[in-house]
Amino acid sequence: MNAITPFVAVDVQSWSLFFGTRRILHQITLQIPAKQVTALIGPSGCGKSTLLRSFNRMHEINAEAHYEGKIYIEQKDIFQWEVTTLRRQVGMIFQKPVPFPKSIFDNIAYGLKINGCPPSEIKGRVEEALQKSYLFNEVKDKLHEPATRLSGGQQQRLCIARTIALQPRIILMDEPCSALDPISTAKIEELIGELAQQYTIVLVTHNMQQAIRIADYTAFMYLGELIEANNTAELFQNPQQELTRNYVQGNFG
Amino acid sequence: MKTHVTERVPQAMLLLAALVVAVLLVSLGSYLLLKGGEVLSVDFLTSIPAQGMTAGGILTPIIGTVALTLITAAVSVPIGIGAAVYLSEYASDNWLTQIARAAIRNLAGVPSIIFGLFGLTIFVQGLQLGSSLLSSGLTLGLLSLPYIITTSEEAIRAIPRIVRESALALGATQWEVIRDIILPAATPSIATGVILSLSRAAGETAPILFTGATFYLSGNSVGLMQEFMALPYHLYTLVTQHQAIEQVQPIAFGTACVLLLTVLLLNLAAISIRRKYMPSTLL
Amino acid sequence: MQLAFQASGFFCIAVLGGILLMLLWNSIAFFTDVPLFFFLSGTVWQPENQQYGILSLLVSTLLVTIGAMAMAIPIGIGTALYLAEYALPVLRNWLKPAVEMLAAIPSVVIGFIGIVVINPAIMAIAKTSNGLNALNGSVLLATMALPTIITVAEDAIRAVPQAFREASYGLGASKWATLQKIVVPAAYPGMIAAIMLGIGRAIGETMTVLMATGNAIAFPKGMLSSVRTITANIAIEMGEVPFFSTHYYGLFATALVLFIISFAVNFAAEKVTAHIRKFQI
Ligand SMILES: Nc1ncnc2c1ncn2[C@@H]1O[C@H](COP(=O)(O)OP(=O)(O)OP(=O)(O)O)[C@@H](O)[C@H]1O
Ligand SMILES: [Mg+2]
Repeated sequence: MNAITPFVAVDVQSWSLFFGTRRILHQITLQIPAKQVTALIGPSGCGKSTLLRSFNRMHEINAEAHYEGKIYIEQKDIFQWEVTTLRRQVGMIFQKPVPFPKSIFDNIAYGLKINGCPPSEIKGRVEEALQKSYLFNEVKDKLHEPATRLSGGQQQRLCIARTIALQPRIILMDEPCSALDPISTAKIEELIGELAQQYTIVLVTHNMQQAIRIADYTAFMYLGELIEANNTAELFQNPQQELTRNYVQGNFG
Repeated sequence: MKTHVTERVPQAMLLLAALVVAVLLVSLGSYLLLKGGEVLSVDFLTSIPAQGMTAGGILTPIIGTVALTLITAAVSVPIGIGAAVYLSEYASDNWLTQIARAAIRNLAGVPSIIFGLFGLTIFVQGLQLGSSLLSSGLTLGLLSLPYIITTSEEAIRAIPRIVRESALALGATQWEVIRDIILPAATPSIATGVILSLSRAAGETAPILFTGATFYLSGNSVGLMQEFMALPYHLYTLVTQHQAIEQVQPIAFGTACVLLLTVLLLNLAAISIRRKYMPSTLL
Repeated sequence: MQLAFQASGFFCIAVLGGILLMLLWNSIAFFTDVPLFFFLSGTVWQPENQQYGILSLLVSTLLVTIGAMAMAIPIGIGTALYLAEYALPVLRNWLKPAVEMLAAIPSVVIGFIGIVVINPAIMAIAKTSNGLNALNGSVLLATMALPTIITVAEDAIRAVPQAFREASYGLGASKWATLQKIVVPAAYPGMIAAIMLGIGRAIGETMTVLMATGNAIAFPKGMLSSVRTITANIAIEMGEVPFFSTHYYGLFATALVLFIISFAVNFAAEKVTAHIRKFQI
């Protein structure tokens, strides 16, 4: 089999991205394996978020953005997907937890409703998602209270529940723990480990310890280029590139 | 601590200026409320003008103003919020959008009497709506539009981008994001702006002078195509057009007081909505 | 759906365009009857005698506005400085919303105050037989312009970075010297904008002046003479004029002049604030 195998969830081929005339990503080629955790690391501003947001076509809300190259998700060019279907298949968790100004229940039900889930199934799927994100026991008595009343860590798990309720194939996470305390972070990390059995996870992180703890694969980016990608242990212990070595040894960034 | 004269004198003068304003506010408010309070009663609010408006109450103009404000709202709220959504969510920054923005800013500065002329030309004459409640309501709707657009757009823009993106990331279309996330989240601030704009419109007189307001109406029927009495216009006619100045003065005070109270209450409502929802709305 | 939103967005262009078109159209109809020169240089407005000079109206408008500004600028700017620099937070938290509330009072109510309060006061103090005059209108318009001036100016003053003040104190400057030499110059554009917006508010006001200035058509002689502004004149005459007569068109021509003036004033305010991006009223 060639590069595109059933085990590659996201296949990035010479992907370049520009904002106006500024090139942010340069010829990135990367295969992200299915049902594994892949970490994207690199110094601030190197384009990690930009790459991640390419996968679910989030740049489309920015008229300035244009691209070259291809990205295949589940072996289908992302631009051949209906954009809402693509985003339902490729969930995204942001740096800050973003509960909608609705109840806990409605936060999760919302995604289901707009994606045409039959009303009779909603309740079951909301509960299932809450169970899977280990939130159910904490919130089961207050499902109809505003989600804004949850703690930051709970809010982030709610956002994860909201995403997995849609049963996506891939979950993109952009520094999901950076706004959280260590205990909440530990819970989310544990959750990510669990989710990886079922979903493909791409995780942007600044915390190299976190990458080492939970990522199976790690990709290192620098100034909009992909420098090196390998399994995590290999990348950290035996980096092939000078830049990678400097970075993982904490020489910059 | 010893403070020099050259410090104290200017400070005292600035304080004086602030005091003038404070005294002005307090005396203006209390004077009107006291004088008006003398005639204010449930009866006054619920009976129609009688004996050539020297007796009775102000029910007819109250009904007129309420009806007028409803029409104003029906025109300006949907268009205003629509335009705000367009400007904040859809419009790209091209010359046409810039012209639209400039037009909105300038409309806010157009003297209200010119809106009155516009209403006369377009609605009364052009669309043949005649001098009517509808013509006046449409005119005031146009007048309120720039305020509603500006405040609504601000309210919508205050919602962090990450909220929109979170909804988009769930597979929502842009319209779904606006309908289900943005508008509900912005509702308290939009409501504040709408209430303030409508309270302003309800107090306007110049735009309704020649588009439908009338001096006197027997009975209190309201009809879209009928002329109507309105509180501000009623006050104006009582104190400037009426023969029996002495006899109508108490009623004028009562009317002024009702106008003032309405505006105060609407403002307080707007402020309390802002206080209540603002901090907890989002993030 | 997007189309509906877009239509609402561009609706405003249509309204402003419509207003401009209406004013121009009717004014052109007027200027085919009355030469522009006579309109702009005539001091007599007597439509019944085919006299259509705008000057007495225009001068009245300017007189009342200037009188208003003579009161509102020192008091308004002074209050803004006091609120921003000296006032205890308690006072500020009360006075500021109260001032904003003042802006919400309908103009008829202010005009009513002119008739029942300012009118007798002027008669008593100036010993005249009529207190409905330019001075009365000025006092009221000053009251109405104050909230705009105070709010916008105070925002501008507070927008001056605290570091500027601290640097000045660090050099041993007193509070007043700092205010004079550092804060006011830095907040100057915002204060000018505040004044411009205040003028804009005063110049376009109709009901207040209509009720309080006496509306005599003669050329104004001073603050104590009864005057008729452009706005008041439209309000008075538009109700009685036969449609599509020269007189009718003439009123639109005066409205066009008013529109141009208030447009210019607001435009100037916008130009000065263009770089401060902070001028909500
Ligand atoms: N909307 C945009 N318009 C223009 N430039 C942008 C935009 N968004 C990001 N950039 C630029 O793209 C580059 C990459 O940004 P990106 O957010 O992807 O970096 P990052 O690696 O995620 O950084 P961080 O670790 O700080 O989150 C930066 O130089 C940034 O300034
Ligand atoms: Mg980032």
